[in-house]
Amino acid sequence: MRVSDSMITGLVTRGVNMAAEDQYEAQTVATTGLKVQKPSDDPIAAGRARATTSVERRNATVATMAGTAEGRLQEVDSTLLQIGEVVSRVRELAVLGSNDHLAASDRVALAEEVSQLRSVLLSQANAKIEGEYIFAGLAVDQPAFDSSGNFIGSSVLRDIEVGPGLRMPTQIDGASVFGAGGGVNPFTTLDTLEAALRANDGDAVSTTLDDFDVIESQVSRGHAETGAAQQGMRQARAAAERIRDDASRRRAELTEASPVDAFAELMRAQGALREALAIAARMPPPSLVTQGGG
Amino acid sequence: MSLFGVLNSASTGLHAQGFGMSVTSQNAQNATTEGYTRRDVRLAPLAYSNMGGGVEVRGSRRIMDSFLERRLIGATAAESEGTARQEALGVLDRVLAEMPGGLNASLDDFEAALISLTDRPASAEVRLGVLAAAERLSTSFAQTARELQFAHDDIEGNVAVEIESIAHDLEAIGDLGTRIQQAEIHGNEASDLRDQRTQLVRELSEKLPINTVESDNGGLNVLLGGLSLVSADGQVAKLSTRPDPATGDLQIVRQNAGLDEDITAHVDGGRLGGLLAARDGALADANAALDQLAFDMAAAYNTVHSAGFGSDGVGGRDLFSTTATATGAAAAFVVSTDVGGDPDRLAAATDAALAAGDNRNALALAALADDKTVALGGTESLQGALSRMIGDAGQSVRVAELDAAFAADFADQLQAMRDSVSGVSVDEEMISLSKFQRGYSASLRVVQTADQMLQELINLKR
Repeated sequence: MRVSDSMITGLVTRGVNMAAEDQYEAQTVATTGLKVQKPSDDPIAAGRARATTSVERRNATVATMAGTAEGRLQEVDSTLLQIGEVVSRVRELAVLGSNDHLAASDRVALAEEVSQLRSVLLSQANAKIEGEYIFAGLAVDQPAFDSSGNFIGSSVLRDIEVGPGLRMPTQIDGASVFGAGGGVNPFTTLDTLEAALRANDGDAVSTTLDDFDVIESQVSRGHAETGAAQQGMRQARAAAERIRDDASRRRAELTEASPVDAFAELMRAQGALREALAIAARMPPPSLVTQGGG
Repeated sequence: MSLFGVLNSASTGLHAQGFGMSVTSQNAQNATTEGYTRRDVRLAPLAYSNMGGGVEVRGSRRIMDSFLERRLIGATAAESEGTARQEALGVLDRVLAEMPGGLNASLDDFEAALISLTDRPASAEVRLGVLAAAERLSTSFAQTARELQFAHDDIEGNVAVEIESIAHDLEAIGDLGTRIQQAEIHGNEASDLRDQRTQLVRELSEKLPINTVESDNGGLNVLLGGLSLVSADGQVAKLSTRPDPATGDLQIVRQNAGLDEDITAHVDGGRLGGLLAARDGALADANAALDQLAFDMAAAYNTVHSAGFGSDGVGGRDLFSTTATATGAAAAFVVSTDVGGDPDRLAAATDAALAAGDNRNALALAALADDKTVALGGTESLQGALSRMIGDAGQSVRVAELDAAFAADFADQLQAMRDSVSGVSVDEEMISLSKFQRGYSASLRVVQTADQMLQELINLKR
């Protein structure tokens, strides 16, 4: 094969250009830590990374939301605990009031306390978290109970979606805790108790005692429901975090370069560029011109 | 042969060796000139009688392989096509890369905001967050559409510039053809003019996928897919651009017999072909996919949103507004004026009476992210459609890169083969220099010897 001067210079120029381009790409990967920075770097990986990033982001939001919901349920649980304490105290007052030897004035004093506790209970039944009535179902902008103790909230509870098609409640049913629709309404019982105490009617006071068993059982059920919802939210958060982390790992596998591989590739590319430059530095090759020919 | 005949013969030798030196010098001077084709010296013995008459200079000849030159023209067109296509499609890599504030991130933000709304439908702060995310998504759609439109306009601008440049090249090639025919009328090759024409044809092949056929008289036919651009007798076709009446995109037009003929379909190579392929291929596809995504998204979210109620208890409002068909939907994608900037108008509720705290419509809105029946004619989710769009666009750019790299390698190989035949080797020229110097010395010696012999002859008569 005949070799012309432009063949030699073309070959060396191409070699240096290719090595420099290779080195630049390796340097970019090593510097950014990303092997897929734009769709054309690896179209399939870029498309999959997009889907994975979306899953990662969505589950991060779900995990945060489930965590927040769990926190709110914890507050509901605390409120139920306080409600339980109020109910226990009223029950104690009822037991005291049913004592045959109690004086009328003492029963009036007990009635006063029952009246105060009723106010406390109503305020607890209409407790708000972050501006929303917690026992009002979807009617969060209005009290769950009116001053007579009637449930005026919504029996529809708010769910959130913690996974595709998987919904969990973020509220518990205030109506069932406070006996609306089948159970014992504590406000009615407290009103009856207060009236009986003021009337100095020990027998009537005694008849309210059975109600407290039911009321306490309603509050306990509320506790159990809240606990179960909290547990569900905890599990949902853990699941969402797991999916988020898996997605994050998959995205990293798809788009991020191993630091060791990136460094090794950079070393290789720099070596190749050095070689190409060394060859270019030996230009021009031996010739009759430099050998004094012609 | 007489001594005077010997002197005559030697003088032709001196002339021939001098000519050889000048051709060698020309080759050596142009060892690095792009497009230069080395020459060799054409000498032939002069034969006035059996005794010979010296040496005749028949001129110089360009050393080239016409077949290789034609293949190189094709390879150059392919390389330029791939490179131009790759550069024009670079915009897809930029606008579809994962980056904060990009379309991808904006869609994620919007979906996340809707998820937050399901948990806190009564929160003004969360509602404002959803509206802000919807606005950012609108901006991202518009920005992406605008970037693609800029890329399209940029291509159109380059097409017009290329056509002007091509028209100049064609004129110059036609003119050179005429000059070559005139210069070669007496049989001598017009090497420099031919080199200029070869170089111009090479440059033209970077812009257009041309073929060339040389006529016997030195004229050159330049063809584009069988259509004549320059004829052997120097007739040059007029090329120009005009907007396509249907799409508004530029068409390439050849004036033929007073009529404008659309020849765009013939331009499938060279820079011009690469630009048109990018414009009408991947860029148009990405634009259509973006519009379809925006259109599907508006349709899906509006259907669900209008079925729900804002916290003001009013329903029937669209969330987004865009065009009536998919065409241009991304650029026109905005948050609906039905919602405007009022967070209370976000329809999170399915029951107007519970509008403040009802999140059931928000759940339905958030569930659209996983719904695989809302995009691409009911076959894909919105995120799935976006992933596919990114994959397709990336693939188009990648294919253009690979095409360009393959074509460049092939063109390099052909260039090396061409240089092997037509390129100058300085070493060879040094040897030729030596050869002609020696030939010149020999002719000079003949003159000296003949002169000496004549002198002796004259002295003998004294």
